[in-house]
Amino acid sequence: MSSRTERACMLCGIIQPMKRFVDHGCPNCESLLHYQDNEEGQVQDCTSPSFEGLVALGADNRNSWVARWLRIDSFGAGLYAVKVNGKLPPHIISELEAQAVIYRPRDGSAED
Amino acid sequence: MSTAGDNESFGSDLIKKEAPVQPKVEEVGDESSYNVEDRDQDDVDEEEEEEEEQEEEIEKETGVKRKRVEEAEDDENDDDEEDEEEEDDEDEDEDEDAVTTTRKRKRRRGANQFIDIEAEVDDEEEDELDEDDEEAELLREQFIADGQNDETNEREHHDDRLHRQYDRKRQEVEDQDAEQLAETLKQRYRKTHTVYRGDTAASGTVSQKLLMPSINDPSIYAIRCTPGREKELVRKLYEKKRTLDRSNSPLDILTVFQRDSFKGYIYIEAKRPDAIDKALVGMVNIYVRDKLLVPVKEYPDLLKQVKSSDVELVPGIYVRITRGKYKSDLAIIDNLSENGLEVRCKMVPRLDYGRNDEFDKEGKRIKSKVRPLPRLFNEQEARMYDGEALQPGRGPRNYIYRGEEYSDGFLYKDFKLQFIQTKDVHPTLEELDRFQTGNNEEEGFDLAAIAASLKNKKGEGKSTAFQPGDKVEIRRGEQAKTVGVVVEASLNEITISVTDSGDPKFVNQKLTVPANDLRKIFNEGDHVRIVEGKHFDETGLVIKIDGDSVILVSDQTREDVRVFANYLVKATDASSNMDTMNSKYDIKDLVELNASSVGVIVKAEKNIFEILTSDGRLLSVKPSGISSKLQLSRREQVATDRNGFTIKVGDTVKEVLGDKKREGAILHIYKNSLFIKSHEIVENLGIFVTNRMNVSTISSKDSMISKNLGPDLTSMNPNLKLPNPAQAAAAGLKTRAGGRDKLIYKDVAVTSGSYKGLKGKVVETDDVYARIELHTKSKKIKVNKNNLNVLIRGEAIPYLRFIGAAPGNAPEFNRPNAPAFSSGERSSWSGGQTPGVGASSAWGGAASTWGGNSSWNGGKTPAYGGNSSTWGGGASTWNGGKTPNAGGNSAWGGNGGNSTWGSGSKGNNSTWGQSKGNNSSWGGNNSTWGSKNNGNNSTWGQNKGNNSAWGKQ
Repeated sequence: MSSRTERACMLCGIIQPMKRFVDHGCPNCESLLHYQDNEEGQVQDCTSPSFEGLVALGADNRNSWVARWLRIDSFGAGLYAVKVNGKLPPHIISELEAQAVIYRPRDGSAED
Repeated sequence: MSTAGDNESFGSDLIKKEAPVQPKVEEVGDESSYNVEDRDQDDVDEEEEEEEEQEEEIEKETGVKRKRVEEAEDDENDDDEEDEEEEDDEDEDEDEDAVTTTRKRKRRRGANQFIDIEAEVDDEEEDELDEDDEEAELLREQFIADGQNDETNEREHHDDRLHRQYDRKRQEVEDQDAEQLAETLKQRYRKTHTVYRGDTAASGTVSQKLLMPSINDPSIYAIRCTPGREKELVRKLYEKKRTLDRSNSPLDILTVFQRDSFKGYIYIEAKRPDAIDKALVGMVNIYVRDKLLVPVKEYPDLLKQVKSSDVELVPGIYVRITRGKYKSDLAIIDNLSENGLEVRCKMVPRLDYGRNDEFDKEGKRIKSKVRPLPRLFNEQEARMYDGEALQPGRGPRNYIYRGEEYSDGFLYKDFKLQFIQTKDVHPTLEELDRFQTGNNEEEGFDLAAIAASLKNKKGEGKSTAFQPGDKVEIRRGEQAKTVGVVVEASLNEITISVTDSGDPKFVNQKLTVPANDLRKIFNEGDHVRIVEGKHFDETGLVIKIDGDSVILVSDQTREDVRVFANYLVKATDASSNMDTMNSKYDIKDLVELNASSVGVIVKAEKNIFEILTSDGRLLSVKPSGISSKLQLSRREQVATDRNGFTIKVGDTVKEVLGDKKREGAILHIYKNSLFIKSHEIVENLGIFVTNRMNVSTISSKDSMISKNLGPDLTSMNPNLKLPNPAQAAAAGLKTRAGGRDKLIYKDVAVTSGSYKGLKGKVVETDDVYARIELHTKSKKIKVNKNNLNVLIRGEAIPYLRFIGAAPGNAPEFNRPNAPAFSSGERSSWSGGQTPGVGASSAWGGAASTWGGNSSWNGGKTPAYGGNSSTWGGGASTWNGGKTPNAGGNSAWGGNGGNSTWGSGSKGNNSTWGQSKGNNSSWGGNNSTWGSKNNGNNSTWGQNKGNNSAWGKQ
């Protein structure tokens, strides 16, 4: 569990300070989750302060097995969490489904 | 290290990458020519500038016609210039060091560089205006210079055309790419809204199984580092990689990661190992030498989201709070928030209802810093001390006090997930008790919940004992529901041989499974032993299997017990004794239950002892029922048997009453009760209790009774002495209390047997035999003591006489240590070496007729023989005070008082007991001993010492 004010995006797992989520949003999921400006406490809802396993992903993500395994191979460089505790709220999940985005919880409950 | 900075640069990266896409297309073939052209153009520009001032006046005179021409040219040039501008813009973006721009342009650009690209449209227009002028001038010059410098003009003109041709071409390409450009710009503007590139339904989802690593995947290396610095190192390496990515030598590593569960390691994914060395150059807290390649099949384990040690947060489990007032308090999870980030905990509140608060001068409340003790919420107290903060809640026993909800006395409070500790909770019984008090109707602890909180403890230390042969089932993972038999068990990994699986191909294969993923399988009717938990070491019969848990009837408590299957092993024995390492009482301990009952622990189980009391009852007692352990010393535990013999702990006794006639060694003696351990009986560990009057001694633990328990009176009692002097002597010898056998180290001669005539030295003796080291040859022989002559000053004295058991012809009174001085009656005085002789023997008592009623040395010279007094040596006087120990108050021949013994000047004429007419003379040639009045004329040691007559008459 991180003691920083950092939070991890529950969808992509990227770790950023809370402020950055508010100011710049998530580099991967902004189009879906609209973190910017933190309307309706979106950042609190969709990011988790509780995560474990720090992964530094470089730019050449496609070649990395680690990235593939964690399903972050299509995301940009950054620090990612292996495990993000918490789940997206149901209404967000259904919104994502409407956009044909598959949400796979990163808290270890995903089964496949 | 700020991720913010990273992402910033990340953003600009995107721009850079996307921007050059379009111009590069054309540059591929024409770059060199373009550069040349550009340079030429620049040169021309500079020349123009120089000439500008000089030809200003000429300029003014230029005709209308010229102007027209200029305008026509300008149209064309305009376009060209625009193209060039754009070209340059992009060049600049792409490469700051481009040499193609002129100083002049650089100057102008210099200012513009800090203006956004978007704004450059305006800038360009300005530029265009300038350039228009320039172009116009150029043309004018050309006109003016006509004829003056034909050659150069010709060349310049030609160049210009080429220039324009090229620009035109470029323009065409540019037009085609406009759409692309638009697209690029679009991307640029919406950079924060990049399309989500994760899994979508359209792209399809890939099962994780298909992502399993192969040998073609990059290697993962584990690198040792200072524990606790893992995250820092990952971040540093990330920074390093991001920085070096922009340089010429990017790091060739793909990912760096750490896991909290693998302390002291970070992991680097790279194609080549040398890339790791390169990446770690100059890093501190990391040990590059300790670098190991992680086997491919272990990759997924490194990145498991759920570690087997993780405790799943579900309502009901025990956790600890890590922050705030309730720090390190135990709590039970009541509920979880929707997103799983907040946990509603049930806990015992710590409230003082403001009683300890103080008020400052302005009446402000200063909250007490003291942490109140945990106590259940008390409505009365809250109302009494802090009534206004109390509100009724929803239910009958629900209250809201200071904004927090209390129900049934417990506090229900939301905690953030990160302030909750799920591992290493280890609830103590005390804490659990506090929760227990609330709901009396629900007796007993929630075993499952405790087990869950204890789970981690087990996982780390020792895994539950899986033993080869155990039937197990895999609980989770791909192979879930597979049944097998343990064939090999290491600490946390169990190898099983599959006996039943969903997939037939696995049957009879061997699988290695983490111990935590296995569950033991038992059948109803199995006899099992509990190896962990509250019911530790109980045995029982399985009556029902319920998922992970098993219900069994305990052999000990006869009650149903529900335990995890993994806490069981198949039992072979019905009962066993718990490991009493941490118990105050041990088996066979003599314990006191209360003032009147004392017993011996015959069975110790978890929290229950079976005690055989002194009155023969068998009680089951909790440890708390035992008041103390009796620790009696051996000296205290002494009794006598029915025959009056002393018995003590360790002695073997036999019951003489009762039909069984049990026999055994005494374990404890308490008053009249003997706790005896028998080897024949099975029940109660073979311990039985009996009265001391019921037993008789069979053997004593050690024969040196007198040593332990003072002098052995029985053997000293003269009344018990046997009449036969030889036997008496032998008996006397036998009972020598610790004294050394006189025979030892004496020179002896063997008088009979095969060694007859040989001489030697006694080295060892027992009651009957002496071991003799022969002088003649180096050999030790064993000879009956009676067959020995003791050689003293060359004289051979038969053994019996030597010890004073048989009267000899010539008693050797001048022997220093061993006077054979026997009264011939019952008492035997065996030399001066018995320390106790003076103390207890009554010499000249009723039985002796010697010296009448005198007592000799009545106990005051205990070490008589230890001195070097010679008796009858001719020089010593008895009673003369010259033998310090023997003298003193001894009255030998008390009535006479004036007896001199051996006091004669020559030592030859001693008279003893003279006054009554007893003319004894002793030691001399003419000594007479005995009283003449009585007609006892004894002469002893007369003449040659051979003809003593004693008490003859």
